[in-house]
Amino acid sequence: MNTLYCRLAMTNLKNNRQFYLPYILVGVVSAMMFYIMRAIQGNKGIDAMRGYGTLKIVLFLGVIIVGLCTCIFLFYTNSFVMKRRKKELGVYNILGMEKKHIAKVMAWEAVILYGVSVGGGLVFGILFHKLVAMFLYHLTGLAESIPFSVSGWGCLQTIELFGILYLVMLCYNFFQVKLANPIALLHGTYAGEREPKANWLFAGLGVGCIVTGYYLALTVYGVIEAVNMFFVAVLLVIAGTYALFISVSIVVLKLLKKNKKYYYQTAHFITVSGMIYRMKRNATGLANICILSTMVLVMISTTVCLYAGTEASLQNNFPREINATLYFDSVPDDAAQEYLREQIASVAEEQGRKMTHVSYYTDAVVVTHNEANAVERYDKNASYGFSDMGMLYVMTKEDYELYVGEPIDELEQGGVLVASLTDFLWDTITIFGQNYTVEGQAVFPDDAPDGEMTDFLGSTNVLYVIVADDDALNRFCVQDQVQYHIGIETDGTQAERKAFVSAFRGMVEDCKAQLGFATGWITSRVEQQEIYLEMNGGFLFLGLFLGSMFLMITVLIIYYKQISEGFEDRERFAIMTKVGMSRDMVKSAIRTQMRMVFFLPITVAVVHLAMAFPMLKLMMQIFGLANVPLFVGCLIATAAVFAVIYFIVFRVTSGSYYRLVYR
Amino acid sequence: MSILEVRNISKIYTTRFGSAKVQALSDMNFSVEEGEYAAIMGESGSGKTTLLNILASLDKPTGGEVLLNGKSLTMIREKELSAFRRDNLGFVFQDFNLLDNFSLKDNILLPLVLQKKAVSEMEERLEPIAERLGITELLAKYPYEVSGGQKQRAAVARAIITKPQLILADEPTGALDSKAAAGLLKVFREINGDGQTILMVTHSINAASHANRILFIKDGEVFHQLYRGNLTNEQLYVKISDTLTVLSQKTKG
Ligand SMILES: Nc1ncnc2c1ncn2[C@@H]1O[C@H](COP(=O)(O)OP(=O)(O)OP(=O)(O)O)[C@@H](O)[C@H]1O
Ligand SMILES: [Mg+2]
Repeated sequence: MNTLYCRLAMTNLKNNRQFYLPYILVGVVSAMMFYIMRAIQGNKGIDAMRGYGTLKIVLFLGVIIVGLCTCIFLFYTNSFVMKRRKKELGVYNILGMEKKHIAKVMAWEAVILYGVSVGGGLVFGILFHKLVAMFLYHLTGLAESIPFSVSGWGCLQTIELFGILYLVMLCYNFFQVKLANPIALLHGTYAGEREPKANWLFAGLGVGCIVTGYYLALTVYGVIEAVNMFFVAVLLVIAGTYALFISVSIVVLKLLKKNKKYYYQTAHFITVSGMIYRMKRNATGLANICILSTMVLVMISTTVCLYAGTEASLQNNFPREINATLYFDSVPDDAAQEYLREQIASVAEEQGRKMTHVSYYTDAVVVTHNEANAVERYDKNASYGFSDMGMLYVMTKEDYELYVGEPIDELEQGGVLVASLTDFLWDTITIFGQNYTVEGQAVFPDDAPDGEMTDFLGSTNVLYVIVADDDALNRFCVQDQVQYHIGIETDGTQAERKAFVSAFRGMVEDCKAQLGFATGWITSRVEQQEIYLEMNGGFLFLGLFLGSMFLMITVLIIYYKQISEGFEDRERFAIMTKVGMSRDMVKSAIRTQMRMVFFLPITVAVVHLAMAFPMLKLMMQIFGLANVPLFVGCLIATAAVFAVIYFIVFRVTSGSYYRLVYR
Repeated sequence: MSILEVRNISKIYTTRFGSAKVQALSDMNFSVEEGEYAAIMGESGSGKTTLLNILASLDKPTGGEVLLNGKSLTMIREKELSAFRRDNLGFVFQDFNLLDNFSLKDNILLPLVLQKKAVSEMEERLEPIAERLGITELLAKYPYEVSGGQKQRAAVARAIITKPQLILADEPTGALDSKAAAGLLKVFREINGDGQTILMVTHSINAASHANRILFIKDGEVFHQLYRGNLTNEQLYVKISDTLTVLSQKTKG
């Protein structure tokens, strides 16, 4: 008896291969992706390497997202296929098959689907695991070789996850069949032909959401605000996108329909009513396509951009091979400075490095509250919040001249130069209760030292003050707040430069006691390069991996959409031909509607992307990328590639649509 | 003058691989005069739908020709066929063939929209027709909201709104209960009274007994004809049923 059900299940799958083939394909690919992600993430080798940890976090995130997407995605596919198959199940029921027996057939179908998907997924996963891992290692600049291996945990967790998933879907399907009576099952496919009502409230809310989201994205200022508002804006736009496709579209179409002169023209008549019908059926699908496309575009363009900009942002964020900041309580005297310089020279000699550039300057840095031309300590008033925070940088005339590269006029005693983001218009400045005359404005030719603070605080609260000499500077000194900056550029290979940095670090450590500073902060471009590559390469990997997964989801949604529309349109166009519509007219009407449905989601996606640009640009700064032209280039290139792929998919799937309609 | 002339029409269906051939029509001849109300009867598989499809220019005969108003359908180019169809012919189908995404009004107006008529003219034409068919109140409704009889009346409205030369109906009462069928036949009588030529295929003796002439086809040929003359519907009904009995006995003998 059981073999009968099994055979019946096989026949069912075969007869519905139009639906099940993509379903199985998706199952296999998701299982494969999940296995590969889990296998790479679980690899012990990754734990042992370098140990910066970003890659581990990125990969862990990857496993979770891939798992989640798989669940949502398979569920979507399953419910689509179920909707289409209700009729067939209804026929079984009417032919006298009990629901119990239908359930058995369905269970067998699920077992077969599960077996094929997970089996195929694991086989391909094991085959491609090494290839994908090699790609990841290449991107992140890891040199280790990868042996061919099978991840036991990966297999087990794939089997478990998909087992649970298929079980839940089977229960859902049981429930669907149990709920419905045979007549409803028979008509399941065609249920709900009712014309949608124009829901003005929902449409208005949707437009409101999108406009608010866009407004937030366009008017955001400063990185912190961008990060804070990003998710709010994204959620608003997602909600708005659904409303846009579900209600706004219907409202617009209904308005067009009300205009009789417009509506009762051959082309419009068929398109408008066809679109109302299509939007009702497929609005959620289109909104999904739109949101997924936006996600793919954002993910791939940002990660590609980060990766391509790695070298540039390294240079930008670490203009020197070695950057050291030593925190003194007061300006170090000449002897101390001299001693330090000698030490550095001897380390270089020891390591056999030639220093192509060495520079030093001192400044005092105080967290302040700035108001008009009065500066006071931030910690003086406990009620100051984050938005009251400011920064004061003080440096000597001598160091300023080094910075700008040319001599400047002498400063009087008690006289200062002031630089700020906006013009500083006062004649005097009061700093910590002391008055100074402002003799002029200072300008930094490239970027002010520590210039990113300005971006970060997102305000004009950052002031630079130039004083006459060390004595004047010493007056601003508070504990640990005099910074002695050293910038070094050297020759040598990567390994040699790395060795130099460690030697330099040891030397600074040794000097602590003698020179009387407590902490030193040393950054090395070589070391940062590895961190950057690991992070950006990891992100790119994740972006491409998830991007291709989302792309697959998009493709599948388009495919199912075309097929289901093909079934529905077939009869309608046959009728129109009978009442005297020519084949050419039918073709062009179909093409118009198809094109609209095709261009709508991707156009909206591109608009979303354009609106998100100012926000994304700021967010990229968190990852140290300030190269706007590069980012724009990446966005455009990604969008173009995506559009081409999308178009190809559209052409191929509309082929199956046309075959259905013109059968 | 005859509005429709069928001369030596034959139709042979060839299956996909050309192995088996089915002769659906063989050497069929008849004509329909202007203002006539003719019914075609015949057993299942005798070629009625095939004939109607050829008359509707939805299909091509293997041999012979069809003249509509003296013009041969085979001479019309493929491109002009659909325009010809919508300007000269009206259709009523067994299963209504209304579009579910259009209201009844839009369904009825569809052929006029295809003819690119002005909105004002469309509404002018629609009003008396809807009135006569008793569907004025239903115009804003959608097909799924009305009964089968009402759907069929909308389909009739769609067929006559273009003022066609000829209305072709394929078992128009097939999907209706007896009351709705009677209503529809009354409508057909009335529009025929206005001078509309109708050619109707039917299985129902009752439906056929409303026509002025009945053609019986068998094995792809016109086998016999009956004229109403002065008979009432009831008398014609008896005559038709007698003829059918004779026909079926001939087959057996
Ligand atoms: N597309 C086709 N291909 C092959 N044979 C066909 C095709 N359409 C009809 N036939 C055959 O031609 C013959 C006439 O069919 P037709 O549909 O005209 O019959 P009918 O008189 O309309 O029958 P019914 O009263 O059952 O509707 C039948 O034998 C049928 O099998
Ligand atoms: Mg038939």
